[in-house]
Amino acid sequence: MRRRGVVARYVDSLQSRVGGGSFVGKVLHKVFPNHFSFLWGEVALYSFVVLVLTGIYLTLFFEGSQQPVVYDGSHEPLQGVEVSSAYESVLRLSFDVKGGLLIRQMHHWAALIFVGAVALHLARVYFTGAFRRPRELNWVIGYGLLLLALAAGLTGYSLPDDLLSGTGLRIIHAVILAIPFVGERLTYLLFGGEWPGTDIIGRLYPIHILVIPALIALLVGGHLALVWRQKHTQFPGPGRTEDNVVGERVWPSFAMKSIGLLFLVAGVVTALGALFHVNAVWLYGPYDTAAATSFSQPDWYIGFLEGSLRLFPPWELRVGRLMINNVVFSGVLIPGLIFGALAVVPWIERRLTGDDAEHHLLDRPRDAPGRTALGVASITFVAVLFLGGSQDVIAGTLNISIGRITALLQIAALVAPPVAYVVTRWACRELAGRAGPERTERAGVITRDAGGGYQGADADDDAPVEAAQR
Amino acid sequence: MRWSAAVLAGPVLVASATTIGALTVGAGAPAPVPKAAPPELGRELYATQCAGCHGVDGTGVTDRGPALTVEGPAAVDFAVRTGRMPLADPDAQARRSPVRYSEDEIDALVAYAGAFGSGADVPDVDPAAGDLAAGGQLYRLNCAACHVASGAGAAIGGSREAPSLTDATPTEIGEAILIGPGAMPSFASFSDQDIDDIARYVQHLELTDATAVTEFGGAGPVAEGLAAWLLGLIPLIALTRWIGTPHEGRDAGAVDPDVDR
Amino acid sequence: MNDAVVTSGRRRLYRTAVAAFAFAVAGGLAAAVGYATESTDELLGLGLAVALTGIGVGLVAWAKFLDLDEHVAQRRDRLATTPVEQDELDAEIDSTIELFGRRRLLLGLSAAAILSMVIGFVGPLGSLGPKPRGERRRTSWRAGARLVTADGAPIEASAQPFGELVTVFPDGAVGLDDSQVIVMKVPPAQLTARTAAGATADGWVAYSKICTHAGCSVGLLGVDTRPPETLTQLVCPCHQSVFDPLDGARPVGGPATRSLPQLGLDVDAAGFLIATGDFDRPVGPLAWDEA
Repeated sequence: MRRRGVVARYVDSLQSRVGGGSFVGKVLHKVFPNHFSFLWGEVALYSFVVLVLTGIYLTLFFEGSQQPVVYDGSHEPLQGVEVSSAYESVLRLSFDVKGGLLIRQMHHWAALIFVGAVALHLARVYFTGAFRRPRELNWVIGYGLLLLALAAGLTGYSLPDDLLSGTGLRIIHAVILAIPFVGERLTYLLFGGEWPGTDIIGRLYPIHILVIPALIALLVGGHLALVWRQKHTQFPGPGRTEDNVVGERVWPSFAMKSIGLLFLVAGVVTALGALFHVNAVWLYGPYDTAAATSFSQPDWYIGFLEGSLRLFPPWELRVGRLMINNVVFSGVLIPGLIFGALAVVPWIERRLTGDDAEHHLLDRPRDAPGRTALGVASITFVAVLFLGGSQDVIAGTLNISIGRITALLQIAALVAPPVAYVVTRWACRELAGRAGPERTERAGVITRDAGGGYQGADADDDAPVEAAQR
Repeated sequence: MRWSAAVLAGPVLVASATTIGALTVGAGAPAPVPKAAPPELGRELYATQCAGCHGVDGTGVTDRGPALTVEGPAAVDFAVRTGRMPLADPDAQARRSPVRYSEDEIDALVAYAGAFGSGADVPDVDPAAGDLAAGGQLYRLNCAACHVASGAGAAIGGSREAPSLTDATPTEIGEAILIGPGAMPSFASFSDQDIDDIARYVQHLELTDATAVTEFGGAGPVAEGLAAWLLGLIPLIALTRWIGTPHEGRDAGAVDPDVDR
Repeated sequence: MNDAVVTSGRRRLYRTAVAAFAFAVAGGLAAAVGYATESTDELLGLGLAVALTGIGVGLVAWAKFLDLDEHVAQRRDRLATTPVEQDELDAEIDSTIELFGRRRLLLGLSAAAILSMVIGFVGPLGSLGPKPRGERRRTSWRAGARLVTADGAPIEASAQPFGELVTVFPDGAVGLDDSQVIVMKVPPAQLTARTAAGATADGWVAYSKICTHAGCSVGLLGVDTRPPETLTQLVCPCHQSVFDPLDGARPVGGPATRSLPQLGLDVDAAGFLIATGDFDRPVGPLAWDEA
């Protein structure tokens, strides 16, 4: 009997208790295709890991309470000012705990990147048609993860109870208040009474650190399990069919690169946190219900909502004493439409294309002009909303009046999406019209002959591309 | 002798200078400053530099410039010291610009034109006597709405702008608070201590570089979001491009038939 | 079996990996030094960043150096159900319906029991907040209440400053959110008849500070009384709603649809500004039945 190494013995002892077939075969040799856009979901996952780890550290210092306290720390401009416990604990962490500000910045940067990576991943899945059968369920799970990511960000940046985020909560309060029938009652339930109340920070805290992360972990588990089970999709190409998946094995290639990506994401987040200050809550000051500051925007990923509220014209619907408020249109209906449509993308696709077959090969975006054009048009609309949310920053930077920018963007919201649709459709047709071979660069083909020597051969433009032999 | 000559020459000079000023206003450069000993310096400066828009004796010229009868020394000092005046285009908002005059010229103008109006005197602002915490509270309650929490300034309403405070001296801060230049409201009810407090706090913002690159121009979440994409996500996308393959599927890869499940 | 040729590309990858890990070692130590000394926040952060990035670059470079360049194919499982499996499922469902379907009383009662349990649990959810009893329709302003600043100082009606925006509360209720009011003095001739009817005092006019669009504090006042351009407008920084304080604070720009409620003013015996009563309508953003 061969003496077995330590690792082999331990892995085997686990495997012989869990069962399920060959660990080597089923796990270590599982194949993943490695187009670089397939890594964007991992960027999201690894930013989440950074968020959880830095977040745990933050919970050890943060006080989730609105109890008033007099600030007595080392940040001079706020000394002697009455603030909430939550705000005071964030200031203490930022100024009086060594390394505290760094962890806080890493957490904030990771959140900004987390939502961005989810959006990129969603776009990749959409534009390549990876959401088609049998992956509709995974699309819905991913959609849920997007909503949870937004919720995590919103609850998170509201925790320090500073002027900027408190103002944001006020706006959320107004949007909920305006909902017919249940609005007022809902706000009383959420905030424990009238605005501002003394409960909201204390309620957002457990939601942010427990409820949302648990749901995210649950959904991510399901998301990854489905990918594992159904195997990843792949682009069409030589040797790639609907019945196989071509790529590299989990061990060692894929695992090394994946874990490397984890460290790279963490590294980028840390570098940003070390070099650049964001969310300087000590400048905004504690939340004061009667104070205001310009550049009153939420974190970037809520910008579409901000833009909708700013750009929507001053219309409201009045019938006697009843009213569909302006913010119902801009704060509930428009976001509702966007997210409603996003949820049912696989079924919209099925209805529009009549295609209900199983797909494991991806489309290049140009090969599905309708889907791509619709996607670009939707992104254009949302982008106009994001610009609308920053309309005062843009006006100040470009030295144009706010009124003019607003009017321009209102027009753009209606005109730009159809224009984008048409242009994209045309572009897809143009690109798809060009044939393949000359776009696949192959500078030279190296072949190995029987004697073991290597020979180079110049590529012949018209010859079929030869597979390199090893 | 000199005095009587000046008395005679005065009105003639003013009349011709007004004509010249009226013809050259909007063209950019006012007439060159003639040399004269103070206090005539103030009068001559005003006649050649300002009367074209603000009128003789500061009564204003229709469609050109407002009367200075409500202004005072502080207002003149503020306008001239920050380079806001002379203003080439009466329709544009006056902004901080390179200063045209020397200290003596500024003092002379302040003494002369400041006498037209009954407004505040140039305040004596001492930031060292200011309380940082009180200044911060006053700033956040009264100033942050327009000038932004970091002092970076913002576009306001229709076509106005609350300027950045990074270059403001304590005296200029006091003057602006008292007179409310342009679209800024005047906070004349603030005490001297209030002004000292605010000046100290604004100095603190300048010293700690609240609007510097590290805080992305003090523009808050919008700038931070842009930075997250440009400095975070774009580099990460580039890194994924290095890790993965860019041409997956179009490469001619050898396909080893491996029949693992 | 494969004698991988060490091309210059692979050599570069090897060197990259080595350098990356070396930097990472240095980074971690630098971070430790940065923390231990009072030196800089940045040494700690940058050291950590270098350590993490170094490990990442090292791992990826090493993986690429191994140059496995795999293009392994793995067969996909059949995911769709076979007819046999479908029949199995149908049979199971049929037998389940067979087993339970006839016990309608049991089925109905168990469903009703679960529903009833859920209803029972709704109660404690209601404790999250009190029932609205119209508190939103009233503020703390009463007839005769003095206007005071956040420091508690009352406003003298004879005070001069035109075009200054002061945030005030009722005397004794400083800081209460729904009672925040902005008061400013303008030349009386500039006020429209509608505004004067809402009760102003010597050119003093007061409005609720809570924006009627989404509830932010309307903290920006743009006032320029110097011709040729005169300007008096209140701007809310959140969504850039613009109100005209000379004309009852009606919305003249931005998404707001309703004017800021006006607070009636009078002067008391000691010469200070007082309110003539509460607002005539709810302040701030409204619920659907408060029009």
